[in-house]
Amino acid sequence: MPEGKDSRWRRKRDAGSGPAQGVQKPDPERLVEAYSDLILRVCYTCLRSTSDAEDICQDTLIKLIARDEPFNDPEHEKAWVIRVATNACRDLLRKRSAHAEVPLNGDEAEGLGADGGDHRSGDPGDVLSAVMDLPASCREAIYLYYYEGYSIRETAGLLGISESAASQRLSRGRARLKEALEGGENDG
Amino acid sequence: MDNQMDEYIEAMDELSFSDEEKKRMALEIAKRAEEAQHSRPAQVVRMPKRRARWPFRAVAAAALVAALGFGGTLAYAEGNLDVAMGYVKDLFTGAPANTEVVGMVGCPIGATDTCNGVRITAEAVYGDRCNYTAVFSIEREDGEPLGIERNLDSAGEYLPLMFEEGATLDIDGMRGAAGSSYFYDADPADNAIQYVAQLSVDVPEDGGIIGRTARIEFGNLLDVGPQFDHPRVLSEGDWSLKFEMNYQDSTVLLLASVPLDAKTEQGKDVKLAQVAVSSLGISVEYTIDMQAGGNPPAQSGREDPEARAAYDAVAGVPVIVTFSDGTTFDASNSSVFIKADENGGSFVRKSRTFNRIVDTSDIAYVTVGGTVIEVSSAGVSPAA
Repeated sequence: MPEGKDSRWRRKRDAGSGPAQGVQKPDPERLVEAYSDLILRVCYTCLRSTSDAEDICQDTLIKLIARDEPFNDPEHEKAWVIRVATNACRDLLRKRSAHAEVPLNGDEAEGLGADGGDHRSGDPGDVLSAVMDLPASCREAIYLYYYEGYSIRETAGLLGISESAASQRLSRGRARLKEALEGGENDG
Repeated sequence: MDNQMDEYIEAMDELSFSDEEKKRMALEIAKRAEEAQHSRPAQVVRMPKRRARWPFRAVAAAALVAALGFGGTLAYAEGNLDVAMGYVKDLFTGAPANTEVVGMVGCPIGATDTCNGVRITAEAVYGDRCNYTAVFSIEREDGEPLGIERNLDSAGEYLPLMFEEGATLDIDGMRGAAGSSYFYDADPADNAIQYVAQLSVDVPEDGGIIGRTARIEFGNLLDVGPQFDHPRVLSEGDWSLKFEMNYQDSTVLLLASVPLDAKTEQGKDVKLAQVAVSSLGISVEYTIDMQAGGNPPAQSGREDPEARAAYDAVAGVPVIVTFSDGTTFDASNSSVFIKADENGGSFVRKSRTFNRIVDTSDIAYVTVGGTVIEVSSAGVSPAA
């Protein structure tokens, strides 16, 4: 798979499935409609679980309502939401790992495993399972690049890493996916 | 791989909240937003009434200077690249928070970051062309106190805190800065404390701080204990803020049009081009008929004695501020910007923050390299 973006993976962003257009008053219903599923997917990608997604969604949207500074455009707002939700997930993981009194096994420390049968996603499917088995750094890059349709440059900006690091994470993720999926087929 | 990614997208598409969950969240968000709006206190930032001479000040100052570069750094004129890089960063990390100027003070709007339940907010920024003071509030999001181990005698004074991983305050286009910082509790009735950074910046010849983007990084808030002997991490995390340096320049020019002769400590002649004071500090600009040459002298380790001597000769103009009550402030050891010219000479700007915020009308005169500049005879009335 070349680094150049296949146009069909841009459809998500261009379709405007996330934010509402133009400058609008912060209406909770609009924000939930626009961003809750996006935040849910961010949480699932980062935490491998959706159990904390509702709390993170509420916290993120409260921060969005409290924000005084206007956004340049809907894409700016959407990128802000993704960053805040991602940071909230990372904070949660950090908090869990910092509290020794809450014993968590490996799966729980990152959330449910993809095979954990998350109730919202139903059967995650082979590919989704394989993606969710990747390291968090690769999962986040794959989500932003393939699902949200961001370019490598934008993905790097959202993750706070260099473009080469973003490319590397995508390449590594794809290589591991290929190995996992082809290996699975051979085994089967 | 293409088909597999399509499968991944389809699987992610199926991930969504139910209508009932969305309705519940919208109601909860509306409720919390309303509560937050009614309970949001007015933010008041006050400076401490008097300052203790705690050794912490030295500790914090040393830590900050270590993070930013030592006082008396050299600066070069490649700042434009930094500005350009700043714009690139803004494309993807959001534009810096706007800063609303209230009176002389700039109040950054929305410059805040939260990590592990602790929120740091840029509350105010104040200064002149080369110096600034920035005030940040630090508080727990849940409204609980931070849990600082206090000395009972220190209420309202400096708090024994520091950022373990350092505090980095960068301004786009500026190559270095030096100064000090401290923590205090402006209002013991709330759960927030304040962090104040006072910095003198190596401003390029044709530039200033105002209008540029400040990029701030803090790492791990550490309580070093009342006696500075029991350090413990108060809050682990990394905080990142940025905002526009927008405030009303409080500079009063004492010398701007008629160059004066002065001498460096090493006896070299200089031409004073500008002397300016503000509530925060002093800046002095002069030209000298020699160049520092080479790289900036090292802070420690193997230092080239010749480079050090050349640097001292170019930058070594003594600057003393005398106040009307007779007290003095030695600004000789300051942040330094040096630009070599084509004729073997140098333009030098030295700037230094005072150890307190002063009323510029209390400044009686400034002595630069043996030349006395009377405030009254300068023909410029200090700002009220």
